[in-house]
Amino acid sequence: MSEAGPERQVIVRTIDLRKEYVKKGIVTEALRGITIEIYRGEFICVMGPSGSGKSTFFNMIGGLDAPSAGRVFIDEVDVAQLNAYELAYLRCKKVGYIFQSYNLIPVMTALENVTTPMIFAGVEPDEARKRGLRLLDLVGIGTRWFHRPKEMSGGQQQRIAIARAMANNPSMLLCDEPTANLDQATGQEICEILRRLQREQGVTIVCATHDHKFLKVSDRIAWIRDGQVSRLVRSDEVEIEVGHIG
Amino acid sequence: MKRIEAKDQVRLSIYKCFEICVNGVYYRLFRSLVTISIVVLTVAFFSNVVTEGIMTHGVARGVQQEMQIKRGDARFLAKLTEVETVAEFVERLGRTVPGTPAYRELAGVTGAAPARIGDLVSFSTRLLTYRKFFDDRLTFGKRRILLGGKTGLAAFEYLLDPENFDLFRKRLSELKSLRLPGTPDDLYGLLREYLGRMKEIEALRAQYEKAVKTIAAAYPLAVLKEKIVAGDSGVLNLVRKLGFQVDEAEYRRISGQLADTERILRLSKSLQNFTFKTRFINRFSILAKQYTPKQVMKKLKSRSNAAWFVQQAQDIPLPVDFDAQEVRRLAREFLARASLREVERVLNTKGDWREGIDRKTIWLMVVSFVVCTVGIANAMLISVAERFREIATMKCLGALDGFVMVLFVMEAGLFGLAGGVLGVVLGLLLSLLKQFLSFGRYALAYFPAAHVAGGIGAALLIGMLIATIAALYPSWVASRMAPMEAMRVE
Ligand SMILES: Nc1ncnc2c1ncn2[C@@H]1O[C@H](COP(=O)(O)OP(=O)(O)OP(=O)(O)O)[C@@H](O)[C@H]1O
Ligand SMILES: [Mg+2]
Repeated sequence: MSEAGPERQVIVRTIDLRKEYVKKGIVTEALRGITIEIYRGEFICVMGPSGSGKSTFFNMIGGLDAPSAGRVFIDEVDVAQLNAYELAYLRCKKVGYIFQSYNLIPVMTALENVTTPMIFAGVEPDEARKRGLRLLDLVGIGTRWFHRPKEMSGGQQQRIAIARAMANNPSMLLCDEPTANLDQATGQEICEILRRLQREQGVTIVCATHDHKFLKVSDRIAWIRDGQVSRLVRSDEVEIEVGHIG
Repeated sequence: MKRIEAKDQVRLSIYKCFEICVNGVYYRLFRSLVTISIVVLTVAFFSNVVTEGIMTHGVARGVQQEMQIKRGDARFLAKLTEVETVAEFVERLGRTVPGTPAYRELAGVTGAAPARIGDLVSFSTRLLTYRKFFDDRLTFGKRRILLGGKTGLAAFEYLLDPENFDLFRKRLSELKSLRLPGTPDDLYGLLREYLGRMKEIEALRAQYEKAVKTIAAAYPLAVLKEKIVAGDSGVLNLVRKLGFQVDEAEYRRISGQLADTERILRLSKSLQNFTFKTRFINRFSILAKQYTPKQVMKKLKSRSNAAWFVQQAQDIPLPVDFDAQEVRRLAREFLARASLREVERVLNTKGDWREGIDRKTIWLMVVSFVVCTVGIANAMLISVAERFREIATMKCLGALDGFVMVLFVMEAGLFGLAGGVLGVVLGLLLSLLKQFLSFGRYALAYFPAAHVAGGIGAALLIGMLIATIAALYPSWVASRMAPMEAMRVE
């Protein structure tokens, strides 16, 4: 699967993607023209120093924020052309999001957090419950479905978030620093869960991170610096270099 | 491999939204209760002010009516023995409502044709609205500028001078904030009638004076009272012949009332007897300053104390010959009249309730409405604002803008309803308690249920509406934001 040949299907394509934040008259260029193709079923890691624009890129390709210029195509559909309903459909069914700070809904139990996207998708409650429990099992916290996020550790919360992101069988998981708040061991577990999802279910995974643990599991690595892709390589090419980069 | 296609997101049914909303409220119970309690407090404050105003108004009207009946004897005597001034007479004319006995009496005593009475009554009513405006609404300074500082009928006499009226008109137009009850032309029309009408009114008043004099000639005041107490039919016949409207039954009632008044007077007077006072103070071991008519009468209500009083009355002796039962009855009647007077006094300190709800209270209602609005709006704004992150998350999960809005507006509506109901109950209980402390049993006797229900309904509706509207705006803003924009809002 790590073979990135021209015959592979492109799931996300960005063309000269730019984002500027204007605050109090000061313009910050977070993205300065990113053109990249992400292939269906691959595990791509977006790395770069803090403030380089990883999160911004993540938001753009997930349809969570509007770019200042340039285009994002998901499956050849221009995200900017989607109306509010189609955008909601995209976020609900086609893309799963995983955040650094988990962003679980605090008042809901683990299971309810997982079933919420299903309910938005119109799934029957019984069916949603069944699927939710199965997903929680998949991420290894099936026995704790009735706990609220506050009653769980960071690693467990991130597992809920992954289960939730998988709720409607998305084609693509977007992760923004999924392990930044976790210790090494827990981060490793999350890393492996994501890798398993990619291998077993064929989900495309885009992961913005600082965490070198992801180097091993990803197929390709994009390096972002100052809002531009500075390097885009296959992981087997990088692995030898990790020593002097890290 | 499945492709991503662009399709419309499904819309959730209102029922589903409601379920999710109630779930959220339930899970966030503590926070919800805090928000609800803010709504409760503000609605309670508002409904308290409103219902208290309405209730005081009801009590005022009831007490006023009861007072009129209780004072029937005094009013009857006054009518037969006191000559009114022109100003007083105009006042009475202006207040007389066609079709009432008082109206018929005007015709009866003066012998004037009903049409003429009607004209004069409506003239007086108009005059009275201006009189009230001049005397009550104008400040001292404005009255000096407009009316040469005159009050009462003198103000109209001042305006009769064309020069003065022109000045009045000119200055009135300069005082933009001042609103005359009618147009200046209307007032001018009234003034043109003034002299003629007043002459007619004076003629009617003279008829009243003549009637009073006839009665005085037949019966000196003391004799008149005695005769009325005795239910003497000669007085009734004379009074009716002179045109006063009083029927047999009413006369009997007045006679009984006057008898009671006289007896209570005698009883109270005998209480001032020094020997009795000393004995009373000793017997009940009270301080001298506690020896007030009210305190004594309260004691005399009991059977044994009344018997003791009768015994003392014979022993000292006191100039009263009531038996114990009569003493008790008079003491009770005295206390009833006193408490009614007390309520009337309290009402007077609370403002002018005769005209409807007192201006100060209306002002207070407006202020409390504003407080209510700001309080609820603030609570709702906060409860939406602190959940921007949650809104953003839900949008990431595929929530539609409409769903987010419905969720929050529904929640606000629920808070408004729950807080409104509790607040209204709390406010009503508070005002009932306060009314009870001020007016005692009159608070319940003259409880204007229908009006209070209206006030409560309004408070409830306002609470709900404000809550909903206040949540509408922020949730609209939040729901339309891109998820990440919303997440950045702190
Ligand atoms: N809302 C915003 N307003 C203004 N500037 C912003 C905003 N969000 C991000 N930026 C700026 O855009 C640039 C890129 O930010 P971004 O969050 O994408 O970096 P990042 O690579 O995710 O960093 P980190 O690794 O620390 O998460 C930074 O310089 C940041 O200061
Ligand atoms: Mg970031």
